[in-house]
Amino acid sequence: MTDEKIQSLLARVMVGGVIISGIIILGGLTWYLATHIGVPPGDHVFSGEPKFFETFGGMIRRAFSWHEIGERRSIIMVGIVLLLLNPIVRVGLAAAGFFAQRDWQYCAISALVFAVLVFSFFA
Amino acid sequence: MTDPLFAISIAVVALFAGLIGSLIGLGGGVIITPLLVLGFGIDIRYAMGAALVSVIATSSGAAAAYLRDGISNMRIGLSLCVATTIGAVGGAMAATVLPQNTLSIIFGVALLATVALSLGSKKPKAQSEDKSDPLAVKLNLPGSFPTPQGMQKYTVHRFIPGFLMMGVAGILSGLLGIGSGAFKVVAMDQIMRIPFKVTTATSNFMIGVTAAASVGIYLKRGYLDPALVAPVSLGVLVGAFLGARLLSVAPVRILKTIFLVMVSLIAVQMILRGSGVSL
Repeated sequence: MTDEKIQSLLARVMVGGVIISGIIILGGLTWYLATHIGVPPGDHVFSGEPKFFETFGGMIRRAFSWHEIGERRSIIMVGIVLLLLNPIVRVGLAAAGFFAQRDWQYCAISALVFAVLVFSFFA
Repeated sequence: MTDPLFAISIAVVALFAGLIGSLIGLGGGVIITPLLVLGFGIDIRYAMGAALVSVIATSSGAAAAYLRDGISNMRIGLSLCVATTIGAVGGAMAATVLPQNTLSIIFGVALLATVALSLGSKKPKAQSEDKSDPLAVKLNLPGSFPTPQGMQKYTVHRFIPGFLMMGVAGILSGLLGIGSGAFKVVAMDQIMRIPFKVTTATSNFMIGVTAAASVGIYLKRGYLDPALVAPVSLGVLVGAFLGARLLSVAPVRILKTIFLVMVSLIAVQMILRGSGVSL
């Protein structure tokens, strides 16, 4: 795999990822607002969010549950998390590409950056 | 104000922030946060979380175009991302314990610094025939980029100072929820003397990765409110896209002067707000 191939693969993943997550966020926002007409927004005072998005699976389950209209915004969270995964996947693919090139130095550097990102999301 | 009206007005403001950001080259993140805080009374940490997500969206789009053109240097980007991501994790952790007022003040000061940096000269430095930093050579950083005259080789200097400056850029990114592109450009352009075109392209690649490092912490702390993140990130994304289209036809120099003055006033407001002075 040449540098050019890695770069064009990364470019496609990045653009595709942004478009797909943008569509999910827009869809989720529309649905959320349609079910929230007349409800005042609650962002003015800082307080930690309820922990309803701590797992990806739980998020999707709640997003589509008919009993929890108030958590329609979980769909938005799915789109947001997809968007946030974009740079992580970007670095992971770079590591894989350098591995294929037998460029151990950059495979290690990409893996280190990847580890920091994974730490920040899951530690 | 009801929820839908709130979301629509936020999206419109975010669209303008994205538009202005891409016209004057500051990035939408650093503009949207003060507007949310000063204009809508939103908690600065929620504003920062939403801004960071929008930073990831816009930088991914822009970075993809540069990657395809072969302008950005992945090796420079990834090796410096070691510094920015570690800095960003530290900065984001600091942001979760600092009081809102302190964050406001630091934000205002960083915004003024960003404006000052963007006023600084961007004359392309002569790429003399000098040699690269041996460490940069060891890391295989010198490269070449396409110009109308064909591929042009470039050298890379002072890796360690550049790396340290990137650490600072990372801390600011995590602490304030901004892309800190202006600081990354300083590290690569001024310190490491990398050609400006390669610098901006590589900086875009790095901004998304850096922002992802801090946004993970914001997410766990609950600073990403979907009802705020959605209108902000969609608005900034569309605004940045329109801005990139308008760049070739808009009177950029006049707009830049007007908006830089506006952004400076906003920065001062943030500092005053943090100091408890109300106007």
